[in-house]
Amino acid sequence: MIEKLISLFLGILAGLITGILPSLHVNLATLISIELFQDITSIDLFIYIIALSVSSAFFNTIPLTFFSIPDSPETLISFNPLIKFFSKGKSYEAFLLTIIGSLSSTLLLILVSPLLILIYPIIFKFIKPSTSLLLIGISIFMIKKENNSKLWAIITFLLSGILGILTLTNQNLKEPLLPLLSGLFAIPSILINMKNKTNKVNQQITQPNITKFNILKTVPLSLLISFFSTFLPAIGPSQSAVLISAITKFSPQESLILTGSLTTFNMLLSIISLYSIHKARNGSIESLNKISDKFTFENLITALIVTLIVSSITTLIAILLAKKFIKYSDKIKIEKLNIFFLIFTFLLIFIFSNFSGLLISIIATSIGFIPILKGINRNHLMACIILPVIFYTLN
Amino acid sequence: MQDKHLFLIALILSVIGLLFLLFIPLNESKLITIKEINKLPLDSNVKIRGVINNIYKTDKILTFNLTDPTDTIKITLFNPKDINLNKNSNIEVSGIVKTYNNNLEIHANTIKKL
Repeated sequence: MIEKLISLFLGILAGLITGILPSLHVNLATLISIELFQDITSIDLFIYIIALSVSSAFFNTIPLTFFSIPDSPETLISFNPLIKFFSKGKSYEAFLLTIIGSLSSTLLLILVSPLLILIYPIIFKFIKPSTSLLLIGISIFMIKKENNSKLWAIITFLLSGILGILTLTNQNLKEPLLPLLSGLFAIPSILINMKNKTNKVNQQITQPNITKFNILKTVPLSLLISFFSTFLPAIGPSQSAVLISAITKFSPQESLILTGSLTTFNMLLSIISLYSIHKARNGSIESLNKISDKFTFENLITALIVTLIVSSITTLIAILLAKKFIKYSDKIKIEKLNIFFLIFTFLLIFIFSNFSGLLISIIATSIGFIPILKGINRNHLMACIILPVIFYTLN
Repeated sequence: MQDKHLFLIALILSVIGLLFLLFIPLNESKLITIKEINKLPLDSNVKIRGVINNIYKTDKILTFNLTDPTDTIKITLFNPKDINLNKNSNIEVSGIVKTYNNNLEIHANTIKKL
């Protein structure tokens, strides 16, 4: 019992670390953990991975909320509202809103999981043959929704897509997603932050002003879109947010609840799909297959119970941590933090992907700058995964 | 640095970088003999050529022995789809050095008929 509790808390701690450090994705953290913890029992490792995966979904927005670094595609959807809250000294409130989204999503998912388990195989059979067409359609839709230059949106899409194809088809490159996604998202953000020297704003602890309606409007819609997104590789929370925005508008507060909600559903629905159709879209959840030969009903119940416990504990930790961040925000030297994050990212890339990875990350960084400097949506950079998937499924 | 200059640099680097990746393969493994694999650390990328024997295939796994003039090694390919290999065929295998039951083997990434 003690070992299980230790695994749970270690998983939460690991989730916090992956949340805080840009470029350290939960999938990579899971890979490292499996190598490190080879001697622990499979049930303890199982609990650890679930705890890591769930808590990382909660802590995912920390770099963006407190340091203005969208380190991954998942946090892009909240970029604009978070910057607005940051500039008004309301980072704490913004972070709390994402946590509300995450917690509400966890509770809703557990409630509807029996229904989802039943309908997953039916929908999967229906959608699978049309995957490439749907991806093409969504890509065109996202470019059409671009408010600024559609031409540069297309150029960004193509450049990123070609890079994705060249990177992901290179059999000799280890952990290709690390240099690719870090280069496209995290590194340009850090460099732009360093160049623009983000003005420090005095952060206060303010409480969110929302009603139950805000949550009831956002979370179920988020579940619906996330559910269908799980069948489409490369369509993550950011793209889902663009699709939802076609249906309805969201206030800044609702956008942040949506962020937490989409990110959490993206992770948790993988647990349901792993049991129901034996496929998980997240590497960390997929790794559960390596621990036990088959993901059984008992595994599913354990995973859901652990999810509930972890989400509760993580919520408390997140609130306490956010208050500490705000209290000491004056003492945090953002410039030095940016340099640290940059060095850490390049070191991580070099360790896992060698010089080739560094080269890929430099090219990706160049491409990653284009949407920032042209003022277009950075979602188009996800072509780095969408295009390879389209080619793969068409082949 | 002005944003205009930064943008130009980014665009030029992107295009040059992509052209570089298109025409210059990264980390391509050199062709080695099977005997030389013993000197390499685990998880090394290798490329070897040889003749197939002892094929075993299921839906999830394909294994066979590959023999060249220096030695023989087991090759494993997971989820082999649409792959048709015959005994005594000459092939080239690119993959990663692993161990199984204390024996070295190659987990194949690509198999090419010669």
